[in-house]
Amino acid sequence: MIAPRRAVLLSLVLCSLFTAACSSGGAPESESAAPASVERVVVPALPAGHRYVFNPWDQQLVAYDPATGDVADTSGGRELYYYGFPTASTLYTVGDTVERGFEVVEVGEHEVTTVVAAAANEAIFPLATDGVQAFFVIYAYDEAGAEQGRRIVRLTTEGGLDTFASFSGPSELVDKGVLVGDILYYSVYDATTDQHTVYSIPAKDPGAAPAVVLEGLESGELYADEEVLLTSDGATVSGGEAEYACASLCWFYDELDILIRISTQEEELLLSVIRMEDGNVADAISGVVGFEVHESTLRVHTASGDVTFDLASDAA
Amino acid sequence: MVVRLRRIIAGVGLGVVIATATGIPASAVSDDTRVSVPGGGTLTSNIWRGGQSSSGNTYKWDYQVSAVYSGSQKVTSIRSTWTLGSCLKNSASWSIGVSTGGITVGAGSSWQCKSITAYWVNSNGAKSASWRSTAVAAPSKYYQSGSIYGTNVARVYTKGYAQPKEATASV
Repeated sequence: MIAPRRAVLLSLVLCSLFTAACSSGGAPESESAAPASVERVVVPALPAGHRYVFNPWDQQLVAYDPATGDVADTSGGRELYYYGFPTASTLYTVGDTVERGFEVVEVGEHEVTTVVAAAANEAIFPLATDGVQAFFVIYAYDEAGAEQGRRIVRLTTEGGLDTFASFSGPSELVDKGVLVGDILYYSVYDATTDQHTVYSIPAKDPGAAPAVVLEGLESGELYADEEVLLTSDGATVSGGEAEYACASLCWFYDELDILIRISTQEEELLLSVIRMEDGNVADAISGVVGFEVHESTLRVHTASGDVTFDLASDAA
Repeated sequence: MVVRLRRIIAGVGLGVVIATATGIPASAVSDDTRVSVPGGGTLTSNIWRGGQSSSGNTYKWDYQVSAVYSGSQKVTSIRSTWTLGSCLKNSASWSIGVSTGGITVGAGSSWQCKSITAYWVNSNGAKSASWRSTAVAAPSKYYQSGSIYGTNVARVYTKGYAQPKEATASV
């Protein structure tokens, strides 16, 4: 039985610090300025012994017991999803596809904190982060719900969002991104040609003009291996030491020389640890709920409880 | 916008009515759920379960699940996640014809409801994903009449859009 869920009320407190819409006053103004954020963002109830875990397959936040694997509650239902970066981060975005009320949130083991709330007519999704800088894509909608264009923003240390680039129309669908050093690479999908173009822009210079890096790609997935940009054809990631079979749920830990992939094999959901050196699978485990990497330890949250792997030995 | 269609397939005309151990007819049943997808098109989740049949000391049900995107967008991936369960006792076993194998309930004489979840994904641009197999309860005398249940969660990602779209059908 799934326990009742509760709405995040932190946005009432914090959105007044971070958004112009909420900045003018106390709680009554905040409630009227951004009611969707307060009502739509959902975190699961957290029973004793449980902690929050992001489930990337379902794109849900779950209340998880590391000892038993029990999932007591989830953020699931309606049109609400959590969105994670393709690299390690505690930042996520969450919102309802139809009702919106999007927020950037920081997920800890036992709390979810609102970092910044998007405007009521906007949705916000992770684009790229290196653990210090965090870039997002904002989709803007009109009153009828039709998309009006997108823009790339960077989260500032004060909790604001600096605009880096703006796009309009169906030929400029900003898709995926990755940070390589101080360069932000991002892909733009043109639905009329069914192709992606990759651009680069200095990550510390919002006013810089983007440069075209690659054109005519089948997929917009972007990754990095140290200082090297990796691209994908939708099934295989290439450009690095080897080629890696990974369609979408791929996380590169280049400092550990490891790629973590969540995929199906036959009718089973697997987490695989893949050596970047040769593209071979070093470890695989089924029943995955989520995972974390701390230093060289991989902790996989499974349906049977936490299982740990030493990534240093896997990479060897 | 969610359009939900539930239909019970009349068993007599199709010749699929099977008398269960308790005399209750076990008809085929199916469910469709259709939702609109951001950027255009619709996603349909379907689950179909055939009538109960006996084979030796077991009960069997054919089933099929599918996820179908109808629209002009290019599909990044489309998948079905389905769960089939039933209530059993006395160490009876349950399987749904997938590679993960079956499960066995405890030795107790009270009914225990267990389920198996399986996954199928197409990431090659296909606009549908489907699976057909057979669920088996054994031995049949330790299956609780009418307790079989199932859900199919269809999800699609389309090119250029971050948001997934999901539809759930259940029987």
